[in-house]
Amino acid sequence: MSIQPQDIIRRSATHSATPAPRVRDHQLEVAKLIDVSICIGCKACQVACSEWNDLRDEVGTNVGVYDNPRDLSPKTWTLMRFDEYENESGKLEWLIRKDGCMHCEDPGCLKACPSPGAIIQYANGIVDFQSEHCIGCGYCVAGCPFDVPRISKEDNRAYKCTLCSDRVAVGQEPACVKSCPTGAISFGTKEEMTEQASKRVAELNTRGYEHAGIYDPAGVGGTHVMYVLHHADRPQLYRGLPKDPRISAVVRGWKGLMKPLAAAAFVATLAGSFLHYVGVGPNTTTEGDED
Amino acid sequence: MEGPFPEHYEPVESPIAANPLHPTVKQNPSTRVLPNDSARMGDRRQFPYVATTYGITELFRHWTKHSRLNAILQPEQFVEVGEQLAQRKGIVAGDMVKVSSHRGYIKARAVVTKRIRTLEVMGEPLDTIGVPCVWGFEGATKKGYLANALSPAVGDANTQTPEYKAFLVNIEKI
Repeated sequence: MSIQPQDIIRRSATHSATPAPRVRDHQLEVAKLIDVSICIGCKACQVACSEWNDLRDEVGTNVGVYDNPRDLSPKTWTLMRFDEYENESGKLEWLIRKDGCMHCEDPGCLKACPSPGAIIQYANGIVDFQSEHCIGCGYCVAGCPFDVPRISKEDNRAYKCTLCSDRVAVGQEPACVKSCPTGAISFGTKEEMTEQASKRVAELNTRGYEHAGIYDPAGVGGTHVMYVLHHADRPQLYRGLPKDPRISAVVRGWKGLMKPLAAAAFVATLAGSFLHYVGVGPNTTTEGDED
Repeated sequence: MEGPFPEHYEPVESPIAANPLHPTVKQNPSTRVLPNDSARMGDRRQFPYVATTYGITELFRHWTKHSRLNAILQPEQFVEVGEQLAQRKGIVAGDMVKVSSHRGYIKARAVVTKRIRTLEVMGEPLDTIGVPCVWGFEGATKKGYLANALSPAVGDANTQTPEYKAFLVNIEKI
């Protein structure tokens, strides 16, 4: 990279004793707000994402659903997911959720990543993959509570939405936000977006959506991509959006609890060997057969 | 010309036997239909379903199917079938289906949806099939059929716009 980021607050596989450059931290946390109740499912955001990031996925096939491409991929970083839901009064609701990286405040991918600096979090909250450091192990896939990262078969590296960190760095909104024709996607500071979302939720509440709410799950420390949902009490309706996402216990165990234990065991082994050498002396062997 | 007052006529190819407002005048009498085209009109007993053609946000007419980005968003021709009709016809989402009128046919993937429901018209169930008309024989998308192979060459009496929005078809799984 020609431009050196100096505002990294978290860096994968890096101890806090040797942190990443982080002096340029005078930044407000940002957030993207996706108002699902305004989205019309036109997929303009998908096109804008592909254009800005120079991505061209394969021209696929139709498998009997409106969604296309079929799933997120190394070359599809955002995707509209269409669900037809008949509500309690028998009315049909077409729930359309723009899927992609949620940019968690406590990112499971970053926690799981064993390659130093392959996943970083900027002071503004954006979680970014530094693909030149990626070793393609796929731990980020296991670490993500939203099933977002995808490993490319071309270069064995993980890819996902960058929240257009390159645009945000120069004061622009992400490409999807710029392209949205209905204003369903907004971008600003997390504080502004939370306030805007609260106003919209209050409005939805008065219009018959009593369970409308903000999706900003606490289980991952909140997210820098938030939704306004008409049915915030049942986020699973929106193509299995988890109600209470958490980083998997396996990742938390190995990368949390086990890490200091493993370090302690390593030091103990080293110290034991040294003390054995000093106290007992080196192993000796004798010529010929031992009795 | 017709007018000056609003009036209801059935489409030239209508799924019901008579105009509910005027039992003796079913279609607009001032519509011009050439004899050859009349001969190619289908009967509601042979073609019991209503088809309607429309565009989709991903593809504009037959223009943008040549653009790779648009082709990625809707790569292959489909028709939309309601859940009840699909069940009766044994069509599962993703099946290849043949939609035919008295003038021609298209083959496309079936998207089974709750958004198209079986209507009750004059006491009888009536199904609609959605036919997006944005794919064709060339483009960055997968090759498809022209939806206008199905539609009738009969114009609205005032505008001469053909009846792309209401005509009769049959559908079968292939």
